[in-house]
Amino acid sequence: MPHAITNIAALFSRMAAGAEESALWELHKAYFHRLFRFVYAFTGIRESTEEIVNDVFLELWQKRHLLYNITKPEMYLFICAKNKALRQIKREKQLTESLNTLNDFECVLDSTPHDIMITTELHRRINEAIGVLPPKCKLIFSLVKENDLKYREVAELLGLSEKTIENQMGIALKKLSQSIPLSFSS
Amino acid sequence: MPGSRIWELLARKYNNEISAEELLELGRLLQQPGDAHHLNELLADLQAIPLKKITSDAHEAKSADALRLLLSIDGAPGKSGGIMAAGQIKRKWRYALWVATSLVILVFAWFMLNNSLSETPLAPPLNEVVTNGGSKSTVYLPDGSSVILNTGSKLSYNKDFGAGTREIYLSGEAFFDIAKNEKIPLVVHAGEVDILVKGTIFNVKAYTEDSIVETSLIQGVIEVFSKNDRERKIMLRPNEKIIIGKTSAVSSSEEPKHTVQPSKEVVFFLGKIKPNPVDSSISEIAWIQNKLAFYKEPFSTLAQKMERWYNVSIQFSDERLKKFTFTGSFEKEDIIEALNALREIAAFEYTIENRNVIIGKTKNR
Repeated sequence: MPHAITNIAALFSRMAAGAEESALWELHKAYFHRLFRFVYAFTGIRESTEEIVNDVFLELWQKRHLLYNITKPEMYLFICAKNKALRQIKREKQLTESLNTLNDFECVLDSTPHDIMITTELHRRINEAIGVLPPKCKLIFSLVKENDLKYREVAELLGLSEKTIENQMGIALKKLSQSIPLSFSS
Repeated sequence: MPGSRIWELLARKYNNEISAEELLELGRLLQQPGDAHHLNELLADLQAIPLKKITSDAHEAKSADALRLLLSIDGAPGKSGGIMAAGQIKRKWRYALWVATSLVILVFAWFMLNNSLSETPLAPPLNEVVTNGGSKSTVYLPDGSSVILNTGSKLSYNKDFGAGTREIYLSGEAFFDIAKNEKIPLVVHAGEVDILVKGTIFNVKAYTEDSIVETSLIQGVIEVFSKNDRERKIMLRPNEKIIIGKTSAVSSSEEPKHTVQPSKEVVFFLGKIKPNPVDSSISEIAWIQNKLAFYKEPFSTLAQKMERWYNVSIQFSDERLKKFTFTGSFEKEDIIEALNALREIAAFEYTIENRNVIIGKTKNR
């Protein structure tokens, strides 16, 4: 991924080694909004999303001595968040098929100074196209886009097959490319 | 229009999961002039531009603050985790607290002055129940709620309670079983804390001489507000308790003139209600069953509880004894039996004279 990825593994070992609280805050800074988007897709309520995300970080800190053995720290974070979100949903709404009842959430490209190739109009069109993706597709797109996760890992996280993830990602790319004037986007 | 294979391959390419053969295959599929260029550009742009954060910086900071609070209570490095080695909320609101407190005092003073001149009643009339001298009382409220009032406590509520509003003022300790009514929320005002209730069971301890207000939730949901900062609310879930330390301003409300002076920290402690492993009693509410229960309780605070329980005064001649911790419960024991039971666990001597207990170090051991 071209955008800056925090070295999450290093943060994990710093937390495990010396009980370094600063590592937790770096992690919080890097992942708060991503976990928030992810959890919000499940809960659809900002307040409980915030509680769940805080809970993820709290638990991480409480179990910091175990963080030595985590081979995929990013996955660990998201799985932890998902489990908490599902537990909460089950408690509140008694839903089991939670992936089919995902909530729609905000997901747009940021406007950055270096988007020279994309004009404002294109930017708007792409965001519109992302906006109308079904929540499941959108969630997969945002997870892949924002994180260093492999399709296999996203599949594991969401309890879907790797094929489904690739298909959904393909659908997202197709819709996005159709929103901009490509020669074959008939 | 290329088939779905092309999008599958593009998806793999996007996440750098495409093999060398697949890359060649993709190249063959993108034969039409311009297509490959456009699609590569799209992928590159999509990769380069991050998603806009769903949360604001302020939101992120708020979460970090909440987390810091939780951490300071729960196993932060260097913190002993003792009962009031709790987190301390610094931030801006210490100042805000003082400004607000001063304002409240000024307004109050102005009202009192006004009131004494015009001689019109200020507040709506209140019903009042007072317990003292070791007695307890159960109060049945007009809306079907019941309150058990511990000794040395005062409870008052508005005369039209349940009709329009449900406001309860407490000093001391009470156990609330509140009737559910979504339309008329109930507010318990205790010291520096307001508790918003919709229908639930909980205990509030807010003796004026203690420096804290302790709220323990048994069932349902309640929201606890600091009076001076309504923005800052804490939602309690069942089996959680929160202890909020009062500021010195509360006890010196008769001095309306001071504006800003060094304040005491407002201290929070958020914890779980833990049943006593000995008899699974819950120490926070054992008093309603005529039990004085304590769980890993320092002698210093246990002594305060015993003072109220036995209507005595307890002094320590050696400060170090205050650090002993005890777990257990008293039910029918009198003060002498209770002290003797504690002496089984920790070495100390005591003398009793006219309801004054003095606890000191053992001399002969």
